Amino acid sequence: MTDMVLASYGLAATRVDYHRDTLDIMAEAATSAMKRAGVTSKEIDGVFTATAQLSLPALALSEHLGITPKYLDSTVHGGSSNISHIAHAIAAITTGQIDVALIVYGSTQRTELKETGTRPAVAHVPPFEAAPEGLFPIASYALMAARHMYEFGTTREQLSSVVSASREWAKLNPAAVLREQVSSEDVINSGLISSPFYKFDCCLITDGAGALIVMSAERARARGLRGVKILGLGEASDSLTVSAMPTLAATSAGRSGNIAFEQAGIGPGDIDLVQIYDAFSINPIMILEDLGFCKKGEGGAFFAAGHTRPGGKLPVNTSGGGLSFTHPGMFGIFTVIEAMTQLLGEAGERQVSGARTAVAHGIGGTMSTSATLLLGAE
Amino acid sequence: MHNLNSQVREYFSRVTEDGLSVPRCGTCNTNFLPPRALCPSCGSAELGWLECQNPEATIYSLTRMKNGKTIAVVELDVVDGPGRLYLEVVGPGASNASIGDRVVVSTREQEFQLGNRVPVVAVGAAD
Repeated sequence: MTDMVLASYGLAATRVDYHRDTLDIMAEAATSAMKRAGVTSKEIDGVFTATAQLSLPALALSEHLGITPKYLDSTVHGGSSNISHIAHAIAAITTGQIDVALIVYGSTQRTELKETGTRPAVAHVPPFEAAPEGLFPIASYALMAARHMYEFGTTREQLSSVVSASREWAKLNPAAVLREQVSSEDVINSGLISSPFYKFDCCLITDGAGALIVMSAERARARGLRGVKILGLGEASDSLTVSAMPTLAATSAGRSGNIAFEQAGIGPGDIDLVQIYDAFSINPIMILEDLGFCKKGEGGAFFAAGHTRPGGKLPVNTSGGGLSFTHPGMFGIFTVIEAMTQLLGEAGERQVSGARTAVAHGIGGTMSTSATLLLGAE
Repeated sequence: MHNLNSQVREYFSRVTEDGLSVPRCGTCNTNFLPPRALCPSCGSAELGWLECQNPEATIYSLTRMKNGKTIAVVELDVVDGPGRLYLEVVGPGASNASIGDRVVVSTREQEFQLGNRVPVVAVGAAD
């Protein structure tokens, strides 16, 4: 349990009809978070960011926003980086180094892909695994899904139920990119990418940006800000390469989750909703198991039973996630923003009524890192 | 190519010149993959190589991509520590290969930045 809060969040639009560069979209999210909290650039003394597109990212973003921070952090280990930034911000505030932390992620990867034919990425195929020229990182996740199916009998139908649940939530989110309901047949008909994955099993490639402001609960109260409490935060890692992982059927989420739950003094049974970085349809299945929300190997059945859908007993990825809402790359920050939106009661049609506690879980690399954040309504 | 290092360079040079070798710890004798600076079991920097041309292995996981290529992660019998091989399954039997199959790792000619031969699993029609 910390006495820190997420005091504000901001989101940039996924789609606009004018050109945006990376700093534009990051500034859009950052200024939205600052405006919401009434925080000016002069009050921010810590800037945290991760992106594949900027050179010296924290410095470039700080200058663009007119901030000269005491604390700069451009830590990058993939999609869990921004949750790590929250941990670093907590430490920096706790030790008195800074008072107000701004955390930003942004990417214009869809724009760049259209303009140049290549997608900016922080992760690249490891040399040891480069010779077969597999689709990176899709084949790496496909190998995990195939192994999970082999060990636990997870089915193709169960993977599709993750996709259709994500679309049901996206239908309730006006900002989501894909809002059409899909059946198992639709998933198969979307075209094979890397077995067992079809196109709809794979996350979107969009532009987008998100921002968070972290400060002490005391400071937020003094400013009259209503935020959400940070109850616990745990991190863990396995290997960058698939070849070096001890198993492809489980992730380090068990370890990161244990740390976070222990800090918070609560367990999975106390959680009202879960946001998981769903780069592929197998991710929520494996991670829900590893976090202890169901028994190992039963994640597929849990999704197929409808427990995670609107009205289900454990709402998961209520924004539509990376599969249906948006996916500008490192999706971890969007799991946090959606959890925060729900706990503030601002989720509109997709609001989970009475939500008091939430998990936001990010992964980095090819499920190589885990970061679990537990949040509570004030 | 990102994250290159002398160990992975030597690995592919050896594959090209002499067939497959795996790193072997000179301190605890663990055979491991992928190649790296320190033994993942005991942390020793005293590392050598174990030549193991055409070693037997088991397919640990497998995916077929839209271009028809089959990629597998295989466990070598000779590797007792952590680590597996990520390679292509080739030959007329590739489309029938599945997890749990016993296979032999060989090498084939391929233009690759780190060598002219790479490890593969070749599966014949008779399998």
